[in-house]
Amino acid sequence: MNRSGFSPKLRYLEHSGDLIRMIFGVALTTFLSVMLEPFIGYRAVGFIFLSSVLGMSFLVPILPAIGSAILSSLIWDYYFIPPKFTFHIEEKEDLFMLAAYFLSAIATGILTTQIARQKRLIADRELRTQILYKTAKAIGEEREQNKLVTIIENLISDGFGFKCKFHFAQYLGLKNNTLSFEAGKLSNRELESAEWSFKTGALVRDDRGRLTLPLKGHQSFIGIMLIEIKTLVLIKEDESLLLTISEQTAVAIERLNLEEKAKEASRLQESERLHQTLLNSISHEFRTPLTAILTATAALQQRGHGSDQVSTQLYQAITSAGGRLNRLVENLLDMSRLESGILILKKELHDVNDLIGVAAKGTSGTLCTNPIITKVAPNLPLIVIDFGLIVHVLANLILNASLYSPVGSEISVSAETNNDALIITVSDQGIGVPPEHLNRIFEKFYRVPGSRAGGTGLGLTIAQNIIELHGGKLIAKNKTPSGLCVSFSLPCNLGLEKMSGPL
Amino acid sequence: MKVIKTTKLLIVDDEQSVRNSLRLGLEPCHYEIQEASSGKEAVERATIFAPDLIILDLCLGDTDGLQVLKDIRKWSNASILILTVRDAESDKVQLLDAGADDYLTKPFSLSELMARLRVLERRTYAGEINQPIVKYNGFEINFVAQTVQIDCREIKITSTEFQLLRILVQAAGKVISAKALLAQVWGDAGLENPHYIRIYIGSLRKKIEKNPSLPTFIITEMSVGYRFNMGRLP
Repeated sequence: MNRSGFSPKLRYLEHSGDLIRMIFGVALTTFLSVMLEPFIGYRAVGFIFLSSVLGMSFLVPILPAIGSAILSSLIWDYYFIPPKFTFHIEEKEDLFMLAAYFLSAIATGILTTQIARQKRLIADRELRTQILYKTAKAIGEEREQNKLVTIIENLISDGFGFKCKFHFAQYLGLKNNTLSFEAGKLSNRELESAEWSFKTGALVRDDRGRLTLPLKGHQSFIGIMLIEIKTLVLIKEDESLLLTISEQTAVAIERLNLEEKAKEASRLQESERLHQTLLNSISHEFRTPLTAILTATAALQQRGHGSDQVSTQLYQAITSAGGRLNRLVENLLDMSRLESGILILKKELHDVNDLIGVAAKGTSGTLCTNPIITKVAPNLPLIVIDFGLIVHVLANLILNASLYSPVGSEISVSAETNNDALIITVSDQGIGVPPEHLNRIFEKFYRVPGSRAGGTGLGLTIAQNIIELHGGKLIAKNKTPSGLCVSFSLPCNLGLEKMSGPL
Repeated sequence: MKVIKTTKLLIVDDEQSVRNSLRLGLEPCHYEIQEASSGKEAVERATIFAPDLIILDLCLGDTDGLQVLKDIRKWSNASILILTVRDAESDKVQLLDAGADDYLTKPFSLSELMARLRVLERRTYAGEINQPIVKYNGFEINFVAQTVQIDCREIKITSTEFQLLRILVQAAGKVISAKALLAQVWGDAGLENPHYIRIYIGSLRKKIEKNPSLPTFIITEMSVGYRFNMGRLP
């Protein structure tokens, strides 16, 4: 910003030079008059003084101009009008002359000052128009909030000579009428002013001459503009100009923020789409050959090739390895989905019995040969969950239990409410987990040393991630005498208990 | 001695290995089988061969399987079973809406596929059981008297529950989307409140299942709908 683009604001800048200029002018005139008096006489000297006062009123404001008129007439009377070196005036003519000279000096002073003021007002108006124009230009052109703020701050300091600073509120609490600024940035007094200007939407001035202007967008409160003014006087035009600037800037910043948000949202959507496409295609590329392998194996068996015991065992080996491979890739893909953070929960009201039924059915057969017994408390409320994901969790837990359980031992699945949470527990009669490993089993790829092949080390991690996404907790405990008991909680609203459909 | 009538089966999949294994695995079940490897070929074959059953892979090289399904469904009554690798539940609902009779997610077991095909074989598209009384495994429903018996004891059932059960039993073996059930039983109110169905299925299970947590009659097809399971049809 070119500082010389503005003539410095006269109104708020210092005036001390005017008095010196006036005294210097009068002194110069006196000196000239002393030099010329012997040649032209004391009356003509009066005209020299008069011209000097007239000239002065063009150069200095009204008060110094009147001062120069008084000073000049006193000097003329004292030094030049006979009897010299007294204020006494001998001739009546001279008295009238002095009075006329004095009056005309003042009248001219007032008139010229008025002209000068008009001129200054016009200049001020032009200056304001220029500030407004530059503000509008900056708002229209600038795409970055920081740059825009700097430009506006410079505009105000150059145009008005005021120090200006923007403070942005962190929490846009228009609804509950609360504000929050970064801690320590604003003093209590400044916060009070900010609060007040936010409530009234008007400019607030504290007793130290500082101004607080609200930055209020169409939809949100963005922050405040703090301005330190140098005088206690602020004329109406400047007040409204500052308010206009703050309003315009707030709307612009809000627009920039919204643009940024919209861009961010579309970027996110795009990356989510890409991720999903990638996962789908991996899933497809992997499942197709696996389907071919498993179907071909089943077809061989179906056509009665090798119905002897050895072949049957081999068929079973292929089938179970295929199933395991499938689970591993599924788990890896799930893990990738969970870790990318793009997973969006599709939460709906669901029945707990249904949840257990689907999970148990999904794991029954070749995956889990252990009988499953259920203990479900009567009249459980519907819970708000992403059904597919929670089924996945429960199926993982049942599968895990069956992996570490003796053949034919029961796996129990129970559901009950505890305060505001639904607790689902899967417990087995297996070997449990050594206490020193108990808190590590949720870690990614962690497997208890010496455990049976078949697990991926991902099932529990995925389960934990999903449960945490639902605002619940997953915990594992050893049972006595033996077995592991893994339970998860899901927050549930007991108010839904009595919810029912129409008849 | 049962007379075996050959059923015409069309297998549509762009992977030759999958087509081959399916053909070889299903041939012993006395199907007359033809294959198609692309969407275009599938529509042509369906016209010439006029199959009773179609196994359709959703991911075809040339066209979207969903479009093939819609094209065939425009004129054919064949039962269509979709093979999909997609996990997206909305896709499955969309498939059922577009006229698919059932679906299986890859990789599937051959025996599961054969069981599903057997169910579909017994009916053509949109076919329903037209018997006044259906009995299975201790469960008995009388559509005329509007009664339900479990192990020869009549149970109390509300009219909404009966309506729901009737729809499921008459389409036994077939998935009915939750959306379709909601629309048929409750109309618009049902579509706005998808949890109604879960409440009513829950209470139905408490009445007819031995263990409502491990149901054997009313099976939930995750995120799609429900299926009344009767094993082999009567």
